[in-house]
Amino acid sequence: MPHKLDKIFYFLTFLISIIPIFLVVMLFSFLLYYSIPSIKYNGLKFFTSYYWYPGQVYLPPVNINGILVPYGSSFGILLFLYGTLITSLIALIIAFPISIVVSLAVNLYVNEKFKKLIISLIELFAAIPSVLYGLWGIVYLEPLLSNFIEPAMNKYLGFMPFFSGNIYSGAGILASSIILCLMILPIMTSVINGSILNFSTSIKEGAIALGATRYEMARLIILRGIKIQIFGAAMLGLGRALGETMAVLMVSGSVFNIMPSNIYSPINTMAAALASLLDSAFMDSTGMNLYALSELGLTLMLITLAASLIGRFIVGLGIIRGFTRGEEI
Amino acid sequence: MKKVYIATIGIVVILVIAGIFVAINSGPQQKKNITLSESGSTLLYPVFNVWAKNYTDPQYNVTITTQATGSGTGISSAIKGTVIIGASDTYMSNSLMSANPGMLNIPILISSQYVAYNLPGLNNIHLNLSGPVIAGIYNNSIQYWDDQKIQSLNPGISLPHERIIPVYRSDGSGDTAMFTSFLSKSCSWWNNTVGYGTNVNWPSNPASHGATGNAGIISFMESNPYTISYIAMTYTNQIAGKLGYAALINRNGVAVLPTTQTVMNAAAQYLNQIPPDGRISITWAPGNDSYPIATFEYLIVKQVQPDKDTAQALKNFILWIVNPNGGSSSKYLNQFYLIPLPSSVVNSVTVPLVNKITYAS
Repeated sequence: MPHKLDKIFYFLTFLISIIPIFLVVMLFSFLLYYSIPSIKYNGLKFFTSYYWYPGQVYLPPVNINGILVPYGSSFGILLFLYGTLITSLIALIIAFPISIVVSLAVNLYVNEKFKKLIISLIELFAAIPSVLYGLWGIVYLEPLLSNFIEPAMNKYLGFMPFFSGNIYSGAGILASSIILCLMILPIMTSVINGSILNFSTSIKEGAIALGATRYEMARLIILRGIKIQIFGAAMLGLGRALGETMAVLMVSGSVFNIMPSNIYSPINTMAAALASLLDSAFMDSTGMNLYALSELGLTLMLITLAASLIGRFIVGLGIIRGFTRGEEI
Repeated sequence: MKKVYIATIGIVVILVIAGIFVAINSGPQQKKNITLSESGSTLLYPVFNVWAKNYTDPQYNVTITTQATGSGTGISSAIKGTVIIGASDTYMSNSLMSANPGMLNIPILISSQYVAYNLPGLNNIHLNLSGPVIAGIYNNSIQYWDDQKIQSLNPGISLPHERIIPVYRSDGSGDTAMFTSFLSKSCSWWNNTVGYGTNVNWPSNPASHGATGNAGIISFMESNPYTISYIAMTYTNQIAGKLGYAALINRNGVAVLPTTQTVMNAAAQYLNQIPPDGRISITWAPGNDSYPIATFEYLIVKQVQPDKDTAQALKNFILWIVNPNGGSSSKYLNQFYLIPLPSSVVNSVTVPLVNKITYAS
């Protein structure tokens, strides 16, 4: 009865293959369900205010528009939202050229043995737990930033508004961005490296045959050919940076209720704030702290999902175009 | 004849069975296995691990499992019944109690904290600081170390003209709760706007920083001079020689250093005011020799336990914890700088609360 077995096998594999979809949908509906009271209570203010006040949970809750909330509470995520986006963006700006240069260098200028070593080292970077990046950030990076790099930046780049002003410590936007940059470099480099490896050898050889130097080939032929893959790699890196919690929590200066005035200011991110505030939320008998944190989580999930989807869509687009041009992918 | 045979065999069999039964029972007593799961306060976690390793119950074979999840999670898990013991640095609020009336808040220990600073050259000196001055530092109205308000509390000490960097716990913390409780009681505007709790409405201060855990605070302060923050007494050895700490102006207007004695004095001042349910804040104590920041550490447990043996094992364990010859002996507590409850509090509050523990019939 192979036919019947086939059917059973098909049914089982189908069942198992929908588990990931089921999990995402479940997580999403769970967050949405818990967010509803917060969405109703906070409205748009949730995204426009930067004051996150858990309120005084030891005082009797107050009734505001028919909803019980802790006395003195107010929930706005603008600071966290800004922190997540700005640190991820700066990380991307630093990581972008580095990952391209590293990929080009190992493919065009480095011999085969050394190339393997470099690639496996970069891949090893991805396996390091984020808490170790955070530890390195606290012990080594922060003092380096506050004693040398940030004062120098203030002196030479201070003519630009975002680079001038007070430096209180090494913890803040810059430290978080550098740590995030180190964490997204492996994924970006390996995607770009893969695209260069897969880039049509005949086109590369053709360029050399026509008298192009290696540099010209890299700049005019390869980089132009894989620009969509590079963009996709950047979006994948962004997706990773947006959700990173532990390392950023350790070096961001995890501050509340104050917007940063410059690149040296302490900051907080959505993932870090969620981790910091969760325990206290259980002390709130009205549950509003927990609902507001769920809405924070929902927002974070939607942003990372969007970044990852756009990245995948564009990389996919690149592959399709590559095929239509008859290139080897 | 046959009947006699059968009867004899029957009697022999009965005797053998009875003999085996007696032999088993007169042998070494077989203890029942009980697991007491604990989750919550990161401050109590180290001492709980030592207790778990050293505790033996006279009646049961007790295993204690521990988890450092945070006080809020500990309370929540105890309410949901996923753990037997929720360890917390704070008692449950009135509204949380009325939503969960079946919970007990059992005080077991006293803990306290330092108001610490990193002032190069002055870390071996104990500055005098008051609640309103510390509150002013956190809300940015006092910005420099040589501010007149700090200087007037410390005549003769040459303070640097450096920007003060106030640091707080960004994660939910019992240390934040006792620190902000002290500020709320000593400074009315703080009470009205910031309040007290494990996370609070922190004032907007561009110089302020957050850090995670006492360890995070200490490492941030060590690498950043001119910082000020609050650190649990449990971390005494970790700050020794690296950070300075303040003598705080107490309710009677006297500057008092944090020591085991001054913290016990503070607790003693509240002896007659502790309600039967054990929930009381012991910050801002009266008395000339009372340190103004202290708190009871609590075990949050369900009054009605699932079965008789769990209830009894839990009672035995808590009574052992507060016993000065048991869990509250100096060999366990001194290494963590935790302070035992005075025997009067044990007898009048803890023991009656423990006796309330019962089981579902």
